[in-house]
Amino acid sequence: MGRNTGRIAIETLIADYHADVYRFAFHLSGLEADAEDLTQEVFLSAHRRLDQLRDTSKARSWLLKITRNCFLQALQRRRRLNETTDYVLDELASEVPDATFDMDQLRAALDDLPDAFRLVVLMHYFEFLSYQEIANELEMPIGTVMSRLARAKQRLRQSMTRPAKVPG
Amino acid sequence: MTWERHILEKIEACRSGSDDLASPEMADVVRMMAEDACLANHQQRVEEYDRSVRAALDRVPVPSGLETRLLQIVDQDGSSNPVSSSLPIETDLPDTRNSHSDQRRWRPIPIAIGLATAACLIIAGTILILQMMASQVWSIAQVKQEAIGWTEALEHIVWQDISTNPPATLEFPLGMRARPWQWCRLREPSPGMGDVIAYDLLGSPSRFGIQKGILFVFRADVTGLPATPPIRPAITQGRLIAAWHSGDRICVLVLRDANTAALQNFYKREFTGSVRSA
Repeated sequence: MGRNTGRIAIETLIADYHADVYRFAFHLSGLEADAEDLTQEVFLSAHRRLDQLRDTSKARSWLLKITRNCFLQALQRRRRLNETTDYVLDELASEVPDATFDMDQLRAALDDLPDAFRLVVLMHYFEFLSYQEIANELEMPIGTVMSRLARAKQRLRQSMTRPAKVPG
Repeated sequence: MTWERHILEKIEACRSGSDDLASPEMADVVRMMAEDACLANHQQRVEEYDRSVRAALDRVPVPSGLETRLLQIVDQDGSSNPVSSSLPIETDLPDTRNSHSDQRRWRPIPIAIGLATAACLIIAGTILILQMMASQVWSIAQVKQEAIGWTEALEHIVWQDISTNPPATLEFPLGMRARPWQWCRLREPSPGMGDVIAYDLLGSPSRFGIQKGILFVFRADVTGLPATPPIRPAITQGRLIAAWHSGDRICVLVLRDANTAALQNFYKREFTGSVRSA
């Protein structure tokens, strides 16, 4: 039973969630090539521990968590987790701009965030985790998560409202 | 933290399209929004913006053929790494165990002696290593060198906010006046050292700007350390490094700046002033 069920399940997982995993990997890593490598690593890992997925309704969350862990392991190998202390929130209540931005602006704004901030903001937006869940996953105090999330989102909005470079 | 910031952070923590605002933890936010139309408007704009961001994140195009490539990779992985549950169970195998065990019966004593010898060697080696680690005595120079390495490692560490969850070992020594800011735990950063708590310190503003320092606190056997922050610590590799005992812990302070005069002044003002007056 094990093999057939596993084979079918991994094919189903790939069919249903490869786009989600790839997008999440892309937002985390910032590069298409890295995102595809990460996606492959995620599904290989998922294939090997398929028995850990007991509730198939949580397959997406499970795969995104594997994606996040694979990304963090890669970061640790590269020692790239940059510091987060440079951002001081002066005016959190600064006006929220109109939600008119394109994908390139969002991409650039995400790239501009330190890894630790980008991780939290993507857990919020893409994994759709609550701040309590993010705190649990990262083993971080709730206050720290809320503060970091608020700073990251404000930074993201500021970056996306920067005027485009004037040609010439 | 001001209550305004607290409320605003809570608004940012709510997920658009969720019922986060209905949770009991958000009751103060809901109450504030009912009283303050500007705040309610701010929350709506945040939610609208978040909705747009979420939608944009889902618009990233997926490379063509990715699904096929993933299936091929998983298929190859399956053939080279068979899933454990697919392995034939032992009862399906021909029962050859009796003949094997008959052969093994001729060699129980040498095997037992060999195993016992190996176990003794492993245990003795482990004890020896543990004794060496436990009895390691560090010199001041060694500790400073280690601290330089830890400081560099901290560039890749996520700091914890000291105001929300200070570690149990938070005990700043007397005379330490720089404002504590953040902390993190380095687990066994050096062989035999054990955990080291690193504090990210922020001095008060001066004409040299706002200076920062890292204070490492840990338990170790270090010879020749003073019991208070030394008055004139040395500059080592462009860093001012001061080490001293504080109770049963060792404190090592590392300040970084190209301007050694600024470092000395900062150290003098923040770390030794009250020591002299104490």
